[in-house]
Amino acid sequence: MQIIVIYTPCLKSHQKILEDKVFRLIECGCGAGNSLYPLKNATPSNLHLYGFDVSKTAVELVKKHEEFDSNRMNAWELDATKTDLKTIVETESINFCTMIFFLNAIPPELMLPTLENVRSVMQKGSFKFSFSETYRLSFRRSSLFQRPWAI
Amino acid sequence: MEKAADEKTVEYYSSDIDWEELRKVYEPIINKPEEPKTEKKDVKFDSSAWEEFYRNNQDGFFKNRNYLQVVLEEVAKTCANNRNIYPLSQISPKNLRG
Repeated sequence: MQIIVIYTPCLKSHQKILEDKVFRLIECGCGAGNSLYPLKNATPSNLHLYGFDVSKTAVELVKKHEEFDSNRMNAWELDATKTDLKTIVETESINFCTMIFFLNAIPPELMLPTLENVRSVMQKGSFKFSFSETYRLSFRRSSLFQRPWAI
Repeated sequence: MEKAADEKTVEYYSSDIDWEELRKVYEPIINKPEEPKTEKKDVKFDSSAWEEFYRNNQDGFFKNRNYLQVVLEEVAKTCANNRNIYPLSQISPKNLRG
């Protein structure tokens, strides 16, 4: 497992720094919200949390979650390998981005275009929080990319 | 012994080889134009597998990643101990645009 953490200013302990400002975090491949909700509990309320996933059912699960806060959260059904992220959020509007078990579910040929797609909605010059985990195994056999249960 | 050694020793000279015949065989192979590179496969991500996965498992398969809170706190501590990194927001607050 490879973990890359660039920066994390979005903790509750940093609330003073972030006071009176709205920051936006996007969780790529949010699934049923298994990362979104722990992040919600760990971060101040002025950090808005967005997520997208290819599965419509997963997005519905995020929105049906008892902790879902429509003032602070949103989720969309979107395939980042095909659809422009700018269709759901504004260009350069996102401060932080998390990718947890996201890249390893994408075929290697589509990784760069997908990252470019995500980058297009990230604020230039802002702090970026990047968190990704990839299994080397996934890179060995491309057939695994079509099988979520192999990840 | 000498005889055996002679039997094993084989020497070739340039005149032993029919160069013309070889040319006929190998020239077409050498001069064969390169095959145009096959176009990259149109790789597509099949999202239906994930749809099926979540339809079957709902939210019961993956557990909440509560470790994220711990990781974030650990990173914050590391940043706090490293004057080069922490706090980036104070070093350059203009970068924190709301």
